[in-house]
Amino acid sequence: MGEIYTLITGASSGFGRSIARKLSPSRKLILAGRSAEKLEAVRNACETPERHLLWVRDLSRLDGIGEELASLLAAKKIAIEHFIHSAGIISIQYARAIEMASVIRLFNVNLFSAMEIIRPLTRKKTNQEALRSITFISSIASRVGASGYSVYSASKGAVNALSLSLAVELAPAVRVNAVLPGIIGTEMNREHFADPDFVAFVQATHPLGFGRPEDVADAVEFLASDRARWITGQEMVVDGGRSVFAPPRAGKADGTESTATGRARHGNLDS
Amino acid sequence: MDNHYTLITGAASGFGRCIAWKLASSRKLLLADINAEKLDEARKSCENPDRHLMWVRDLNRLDGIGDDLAACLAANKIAIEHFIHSAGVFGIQFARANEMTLVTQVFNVNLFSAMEIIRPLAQKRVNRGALRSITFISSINSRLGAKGYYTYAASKGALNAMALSLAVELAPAVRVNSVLPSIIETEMNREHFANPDFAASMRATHPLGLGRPEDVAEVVEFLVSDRARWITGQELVVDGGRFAVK
Repeated sequence: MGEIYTLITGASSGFGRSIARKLSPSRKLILAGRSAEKLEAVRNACETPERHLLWVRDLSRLDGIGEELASLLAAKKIAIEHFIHSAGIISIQYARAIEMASVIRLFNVNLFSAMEIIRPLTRKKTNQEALRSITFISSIASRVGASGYSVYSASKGAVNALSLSLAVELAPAVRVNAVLPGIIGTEMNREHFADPDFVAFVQATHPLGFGRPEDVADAVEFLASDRARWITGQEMVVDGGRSVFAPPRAGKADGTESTATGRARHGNLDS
Repeated sequence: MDNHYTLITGAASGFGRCIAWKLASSRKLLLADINAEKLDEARKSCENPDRHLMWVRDLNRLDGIGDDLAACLAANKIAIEHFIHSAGVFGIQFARANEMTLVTQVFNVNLFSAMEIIRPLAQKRVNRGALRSITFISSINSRLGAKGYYTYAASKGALNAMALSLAVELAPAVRVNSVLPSIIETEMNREHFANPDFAASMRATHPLGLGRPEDVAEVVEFLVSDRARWITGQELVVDGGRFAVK
């Protein structure tokens, strides 16, 4: 068998970048993303940058993703042991104004591209049975309703259900799990975090305070390791207590009034 | 109201037709499916066939679904009060051989077409604020792993999560819920049930025995009615105890 790598999509920013930096001392990585320049910057921020590879690819176009990955593996004589799907886009869409073109684009990146990638990775001929784990970055938006989030939530709910059946299909060789982060500040939602009301809302709804991309990377590192060897088909929530937290009533004297306002304005806005 | 209808997709067969039969005596129905002939048969087998309308439409082609529906409502001077999305296709796919064309078909019919339909129904100009409930026919496969099921399961998991956010977005005017049946014999899977081993394993895994499409229709009728006026964003499992023995 050729050399063994960990493939991370969405590696140029946000959770993907944080996961790459976390895994870079211990694993060889293929960093996948749209922008060669950004990917290169991430690679240089990793430990031992020269041993990691780049795969520049726009996952919103599905055509040929599987074949491209297969030829990359063949050309470099390598195989993928762990696949981490962190690529994701968000689009706020209200039911009365849903645009199918952006729905499809969102599903291409968040869901369908992962299916395209998994196909060659589960073929003996292409990946030499090297695959051991698949980890999806999902979202608590798949479990918590919010206005304008139906399309994004649907894509993440699809990812959760997908991992369940893949876990059964690919056992015992491959473990498949999903990580569901709460709201964490990344490039994707920087503008929201510029709004003090939003920051107050996040603080008030996450009992453990603000999360960091590293919190997600820690969970992913665990799931992609042998320490999780008997864990498959699971949804691991990393949300600082967000999903078990009943928001306080509006108008209480302890300063939670602004929380209720922020909640009304932002719903359960996700990363 | 007089011109208020209940829209049922996938109404020519399976759960959809059974739901149509169940609701036909108390509601005016707009029955949707791909095949005009089969749809007309389903309509004629309903009570009061004359008061029900048909919308013949392939939900695998997304282009213009919303406009089509809006035109249908305008032409008939009706509005939709309840939307029941029962249209669904199924495709066994293994990870190593998945084909994006089949994935697209499953998602078009099971998920994206519902989004296209909901858009005009949520627009005041088109549907005059008539919408009160949306009910998705999902599947316990969204909660249960099975080999070859991941595409289908993903489409149903997407429906469940979408229902959650729509429930928040469209409240308090519109309630949004999904029904998760276990395997029930319909046209879609009759060949499986013809296999005695399969039927035996179904009996073994369902403490209440084999389910019927009527069991699903009963739940849908309840969720659509005012008896469920304080229920939204929920997943209702109808599985003869299948989960209890998991």
